[in-house]
Amino acid sequence: MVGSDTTYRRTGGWVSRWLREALLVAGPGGRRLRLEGPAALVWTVLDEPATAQEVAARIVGRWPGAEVPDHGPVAEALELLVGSELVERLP
Amino acid sequence: MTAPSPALADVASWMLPGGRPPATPEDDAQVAALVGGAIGARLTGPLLLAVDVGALELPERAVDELVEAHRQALQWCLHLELRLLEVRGWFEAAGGVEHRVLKGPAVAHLDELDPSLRTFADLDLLVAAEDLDRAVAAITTHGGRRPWAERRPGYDRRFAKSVTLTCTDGVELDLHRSLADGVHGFRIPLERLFATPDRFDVGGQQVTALGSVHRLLHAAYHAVLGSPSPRLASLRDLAGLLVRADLQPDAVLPEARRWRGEAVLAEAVASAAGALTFEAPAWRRWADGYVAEPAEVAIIERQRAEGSALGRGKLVAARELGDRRARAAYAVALAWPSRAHLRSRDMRRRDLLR
Repeated sequence: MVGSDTTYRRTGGWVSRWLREALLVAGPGGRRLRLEGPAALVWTVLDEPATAQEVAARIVGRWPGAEVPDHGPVAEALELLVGSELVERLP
Repeated sequence: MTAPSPALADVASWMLPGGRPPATPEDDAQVAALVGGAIGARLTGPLLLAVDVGALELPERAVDELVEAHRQALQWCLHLELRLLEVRGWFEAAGGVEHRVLKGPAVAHLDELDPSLRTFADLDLLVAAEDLDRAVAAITTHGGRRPWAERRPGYDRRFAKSVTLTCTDGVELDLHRSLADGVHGFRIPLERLFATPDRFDVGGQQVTALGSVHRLLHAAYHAVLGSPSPRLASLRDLAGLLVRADLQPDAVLPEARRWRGEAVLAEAVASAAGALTFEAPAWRRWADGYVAEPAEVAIIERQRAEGSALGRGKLVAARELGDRRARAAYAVALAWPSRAHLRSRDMRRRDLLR
């Protein structure tokens, strides 16, 4: 079960670069993904483990105009990233 | 080589303190020259950023070409960083190899505003001399191939600037024993390069690079000694360090003197100041006032002309080796390479006499 106090971290072995508004990511086994919108912002600020609320705060702090005003879309993006194996929940 | 266009030099200066925005090209020919020049000079990152923030305008088709070129360059950088993680695993499995990441990835992560501004084509690692043979073996075990055999047994770890290996997918790995060929390569106190590393994250691992003073000196050496004339991207790397408050002359010159490389540094600073626009008044004053010994100027010119090829500069470099036995071993290696080395280069011993 995913609660608001769940902590997330990047899965090791993935590297990334910004290309305009998109984030190009590459990882184990030659996997290539292109992240856009909240998912790209979330992955970028998740250089240290954090909860969804902490991630939202980091995004607003780093990009004051970013359209991610609360942790709702962030939590959604985090679960999307978990599903893609880019991010994992900390036990 | 022709001088770079002022517009391309402005691209190379973009986002440096004091750098001016590149001027908008006036016609199709200028657009093509700017975009093509940026792609060729690995400056797609700064040019695309300048376009995106509205510092200059390009026709839509040119922007599309630029974005695609930059996308391909970035994908290759990601491929190289994944290879870096693999190589570190191979080194660990081989019992550990003391190494530092040089140039591209280190500059991208440590010295640029964002890593996407700095693209690169290969991986350069500084490897502790005593670990070099093991590092080469670790990579050849995983399919890496060197273009030719070692010049003589023990030459790589004692005298070579670097060993280049090519992986099956075309990734080129340069394992450096030193940071320059010839005289200046032998002058660098190599053990100091490992003493004060900086770190950055790649795929969740903390990898180590040279410390900032050494990165600045390496950027200067690479700009001046690495090619007959400095590349704009190399000068941008250097300028990005020269503008830093913690890397002013008083912080860097003592190390440059230890390397006996002030003449190289002065030439590099003058080249950067002449080609790019950036604010580093103390460095400009120092370079303007520095008078190099004619012998040092000759060493630099010879190295630039010879590159990594065998020439008089490589023979003169023997003087920099500390003891007589090392000088003799070096001279023998230059004059009498092994049969395996000659065979791999499709040469015969008498070819050396031409």
